[in-house]
Parts: sequence; structure tokens; C-alpha cells
Amino acid sequence: MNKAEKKFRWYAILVIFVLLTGLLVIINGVNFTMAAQDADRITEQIAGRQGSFGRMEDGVNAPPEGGFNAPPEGGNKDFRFGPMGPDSPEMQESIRYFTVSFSEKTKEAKTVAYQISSVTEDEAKTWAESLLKGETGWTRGTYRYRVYKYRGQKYVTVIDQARELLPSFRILLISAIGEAVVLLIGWFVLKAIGKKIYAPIREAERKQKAFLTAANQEFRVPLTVIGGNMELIERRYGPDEETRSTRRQLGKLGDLVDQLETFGLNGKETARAEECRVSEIFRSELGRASAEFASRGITLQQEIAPDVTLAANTEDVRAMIGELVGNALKYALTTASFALKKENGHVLIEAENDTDLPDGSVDQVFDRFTTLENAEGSTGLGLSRVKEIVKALNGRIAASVSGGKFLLTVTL
Amino acid sequence: MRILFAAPDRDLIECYRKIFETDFGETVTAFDGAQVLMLTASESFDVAVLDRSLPRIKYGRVLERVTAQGIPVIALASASSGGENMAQMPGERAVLTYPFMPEEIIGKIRVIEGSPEQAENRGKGTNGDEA
Repeated sequence: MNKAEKKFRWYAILVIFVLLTGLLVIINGVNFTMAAQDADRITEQIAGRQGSFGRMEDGVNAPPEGGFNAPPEGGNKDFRFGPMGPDSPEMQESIRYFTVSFSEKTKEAKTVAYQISSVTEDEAKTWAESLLKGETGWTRGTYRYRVYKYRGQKYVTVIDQARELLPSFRILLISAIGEAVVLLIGWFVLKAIGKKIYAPIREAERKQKAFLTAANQEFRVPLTVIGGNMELIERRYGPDEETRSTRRQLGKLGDLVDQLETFGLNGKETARAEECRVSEIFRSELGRASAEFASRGITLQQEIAPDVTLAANTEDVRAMIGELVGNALKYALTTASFALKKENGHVLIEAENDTDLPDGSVDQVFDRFTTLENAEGSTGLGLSRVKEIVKALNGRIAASVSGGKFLLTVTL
Repeated sequence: MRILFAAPDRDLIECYRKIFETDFGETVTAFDGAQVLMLTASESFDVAVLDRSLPRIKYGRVLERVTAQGIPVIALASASSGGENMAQMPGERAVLTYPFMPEEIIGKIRVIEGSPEQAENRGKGTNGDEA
């Protein structure tokens, strides 16, 4: 349950992160695009005046008489009462910029306008020359440039937009900090919510474990008594089909009780890992079962790579391999094959047997108390126990039926 | 061979008392730790089969006192493989986990019965009376 709770928290925080980042990217993207558009309008105006706000040959947009405090002729209210946008005369006065023209014939550079203190005129010329191949864009981070032609000359205008971009950068910084804070708060809120959401499930799981553990313990002595009484009955009246059948059922119940416990239903921790000799265990388990395979008319094939080891608890690995072998023993029709190899640093186990099951997904074989149609009478615990062990070893297990073959693949 | 069989379940005791009496001879039964201590203090046994969940007195103390008398102990535990209860405690000769079949426990008792130590005790006629 702890894992599921953590998974929920991580997924939820990931969703919040993706949504929030997406929203902030859009907001900041639009903001920076608008800043670029504003800058382009200014460079466009400068280009329209042949590189300088001061060269107004046609007199349009000339500073009004009495300076910029008075509205222009005709009364452009936007300049007076609206925000100081890129079109306002005051903005034109306060822009830091330079324009350099280049003769297309002689390539001679000439300063057309120079209203910037952060670069020298010579630097401005060199800088402008490096931009000749472009059209418009950002240069040196916060400078916007435009390249245009006028009367056989190429002009490069560069304007400083640091002041205009500052609010955008502030918004970007605030967005990033805000997102981090939201994620942090979200993490703790989700932790609290997760605890509340999972509390009933955790409680149900605890009760289930407690019940199964108690039931498991409570089964043990009665089974022993029944076994003892069967012995007494057989001694008194002799064994018959009924007593033998009862003994077989007792054996099954005994296995079930053992399997229930090894599931860790009583909350035991995973056993300590050690250097486990998988090849040896595999050979030993197959050796023990070989006579049984033969007696059932099942051809046993094995391809066990030597010296395959794994950092794991030997008993867990033995139980897992024992279950895989036992599964084939129960359900193989005529052939069963086992392979153990090491691939890309992983231990790979393949257990295959022929089957009359139809092709398709058989993932339900790993669910507790679930059996396939060819496994009537089985406890439905064997392969789910294998999955528990594989999970504890951070491995993967898959089952499939294809072309009359049932294949189990374990990767550790 | 004289067996002491102690477990809290009366049906279990009754059933295995009959089996042990048929196979080994006299079997004395007890239902809790106090009875075990009382019986082992006053009587002699060749083997004691003790359930680890005996009530009234802690199993560890019962085991200590019984083994101190030189009586071999077969423990009956509820947990299965991998559990701590499965491990043999000092003084125990064998551990059986429920559920078990009669032949398993009979086999364990036979091992003790055939041990040189038991042969020696049988020669002396009693167990624990040497002192």
C-alpha cells in the first residue's frame, strides 16, 4: 500500500508539474512574443525614418511645438492619456539605439544614429556588420535589431530592450519560483490527501492480513488433528479409497496453508539477500522432479547456463523455481522445457510447456486465487507467489499462450 | 518409552496420545506449561513433545527446565518455512510445524528412540534419575 500511495503522489505531482509548466510556458511565451512585437514596431518606425528618429524628412510625427508635453497637432489622445507605448514620442526620445548604414558598393560603414552609451561607435559598426546577414531578431540577449535597405544602402538598427524586457524576466522568475512553491505545497497536500484516501484501503488490507494470518494459524492444528484421526481410523479399519482421498485433500490443504503464509500475509519482511547460485538450484529442482515428469509421460528439456548467480535469498529463489517446475509438472501435456541464461546483466528464466489453452493474455495467472480453465482444483496461489518473489527481487514476470505453448518469462 | 505430550488443544492431545501409546507406550499429556513443569519434576520421560504456544508459563522457561532434566524435546510450532518460529531453539532436538502427518512426528520420535543417549537411558531403566 505504501508503494501505491507513493505512486499516486508522484503521478499527481507530475500532472500538476506538467499542467503548471505548460500554463507558465504559454503565459511567458506570449509575454516575450509581445515584447518582441513592441520592439519590432520601434525598429520599424526607425526604419521608416531612414535609421533615426531625428531624420524626419516628411515632417510626419515631428515633435510638436513646445516639446513633448503638448499633444500633437490634431490631438492624439492616446499619446497624452494612454500608456507610454512604442508609438509615443517620449518613448522615441528614451530609446537607446544606434543605426549603421553600409554602402552596397563600397561596403563602407557609416553611423546614421548613435544614441547609446553602452557601446562605442566603432563597436556599434562591428556589431552591426555581424548582423548584416539577418533580417530581424534578438542579439546579445536583450537587443533587438532590424536590417533594411534604403537608396542603395543597407541599414542595421539595434535597439536596447533591456528596460522593456525586465518585467518579462521578472514574471518569468516569479513563475519559476511560484511553480516550485506550488509543487512543494502540493507535495505535502497530496501526502495528507493520500493518507486520507488510502487510510480505509490500508485498514482493509491490515484486517485482511490479520484475518488470513489468524485463519492460517487456526487451520494448522485442526488439519493435524484430522490427519491424526485418519491415521487412527486406518489403523482400526484399514485404509480404503475414502481415507486415501481424505489424506490427499489434507495434503492440498496443508500446501494451501503453507503458501498462504509464505505470501507474507503476516507482514514478514523480505529475507536477506545473499550470493545465490541459481544454476545449482535450478538443476537440483529439475533433478528432483525429473522422475515425476517421466512418470507422467512428459518430456523434460533443459538448457541451464552454468554458474549463474544472483544477489537474493536462496530460499526465495528455490521457492520460485520450485513453483515454476511444479507448475509445468501439473499442466504440461507432453513437453516441458526450462532455460536459464544471463543476458545484458540480467538473469533470464524461461519455463515453457505445451497446453490446450487458447492464445491470448493470461496475466490473471498471477492473481491470487485465480486459476486458468485447465487448472481446476488448483489453489491459484503458486504463480502469484512466484510473482511476489519476483517483485521482491525487483524483477519482471510475464506469461503468454501462443500456438499451444504456455510461456513464463522471469527477468531478474 | 515414556512420552510427555503437551499441547493446548484437547482433540490434538487425545488423538496423538492414542497414536503414541500404540507405537511407543505410555503417553502422559499436559495442557499448559505449569503442568509440564510439575510432571517433569516428579516423573521421568524419554521424550517430550511440546507445543510452543503452551499457556500459563513462557515456552522458553518450560524448555529450559525440561531440557535441564535431560529430556529430549520435540517442538511443535505454528509458523511455516521462513518464519522465525521455524528455527530450532537451543535445547530442542527437532521442530515440527503444524500441520504435520502422524508419520512425521513418529519419525522424529523414532530418531530420538534410536539415539545412543536413549539406549544408555534404557539400560539404566529411567531418564533423568541419574542425579
